[in-house]
Amino acid sequence: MSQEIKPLKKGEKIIEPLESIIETEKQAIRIIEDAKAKAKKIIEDAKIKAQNEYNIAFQETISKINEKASLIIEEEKRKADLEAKKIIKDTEDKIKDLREKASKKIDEAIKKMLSIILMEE
Amino acid sequence: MTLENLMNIIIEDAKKEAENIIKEANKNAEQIIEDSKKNAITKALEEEKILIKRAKEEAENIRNTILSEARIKSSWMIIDEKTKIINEVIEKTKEKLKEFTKSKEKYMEILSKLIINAGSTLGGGELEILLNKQDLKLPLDIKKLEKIVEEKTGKKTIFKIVDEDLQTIGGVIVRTKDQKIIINYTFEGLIESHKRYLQKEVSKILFSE
Repeated sequence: MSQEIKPLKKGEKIIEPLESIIETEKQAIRIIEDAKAKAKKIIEDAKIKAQNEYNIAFQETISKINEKASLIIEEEKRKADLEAKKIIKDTEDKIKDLREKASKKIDEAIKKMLSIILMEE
Repeated sequence: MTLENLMNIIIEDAKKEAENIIKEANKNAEQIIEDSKKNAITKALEEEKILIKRAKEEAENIRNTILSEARIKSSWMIIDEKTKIINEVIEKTKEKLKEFTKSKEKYMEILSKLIINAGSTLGGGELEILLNKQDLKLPLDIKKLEKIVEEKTGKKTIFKIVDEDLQTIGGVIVRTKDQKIIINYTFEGLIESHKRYLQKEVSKILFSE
């Protein structure tokens, strides 16, 4: 406020202007108080929103981590399934080999069985 | 400066201050929300280690379960196959035994041996012999068999052939007269009573490298 304040002229009223100034000051204070109240509300709302945002961000991050965890499990399961299939396939091959070798000795086995049953041993 | 000007300035200043207060509040509000998001992410990431560790443990358990089941299945497949092969051998042996019963002399020799063996095990005495329909027609020398058993047991032995329509491919059942003790030397009976031993011996031949 660099403007010059003019001196009062003779007969000029002083109370009314002062009252006006006081009233204006009060109005200014109300404006600031309102602003402070609004600011307080903004912060309170922000805190509520922050809590919601916290929950959302937490859940989103946890979901991503859970997805990652699920992928780890799925991948390990997929690998294990493949290994299991290989075990079964190897067993099938082993069984073929087993039968092939056994088929060459069946006569010998029957002979042995007969000798036991007929008490030749 | 007029009074009105002064009042306007006061109100304008107040409005500016109010505006600043609101601006600052908005800025703080944004910061609060932003910080909250950051905190949430940081907190969630702290959980990550635990969750991933748990997932790895679960994955390991699943893997072990799948592989154990496969190994158990594999073992059973081999046991099943071996059992099938042994059963095939048993069936073929039965066919051979059936054929063998047609070779009268050799079969009678075995049958006599089985009767002597059973009679001796029963300790001689009055014994009953059960044969199938076909074997009832065989000219077994019962007197000779009685004598051999008597010599072995030191007890007078009498064999009586009983026709009870025995259902068997061959062999004999010998029992005491009071039927309290029965020796089942039919081929099926012998296979059944020697099953474990037969399986073991046949496995040695069939499945040894």
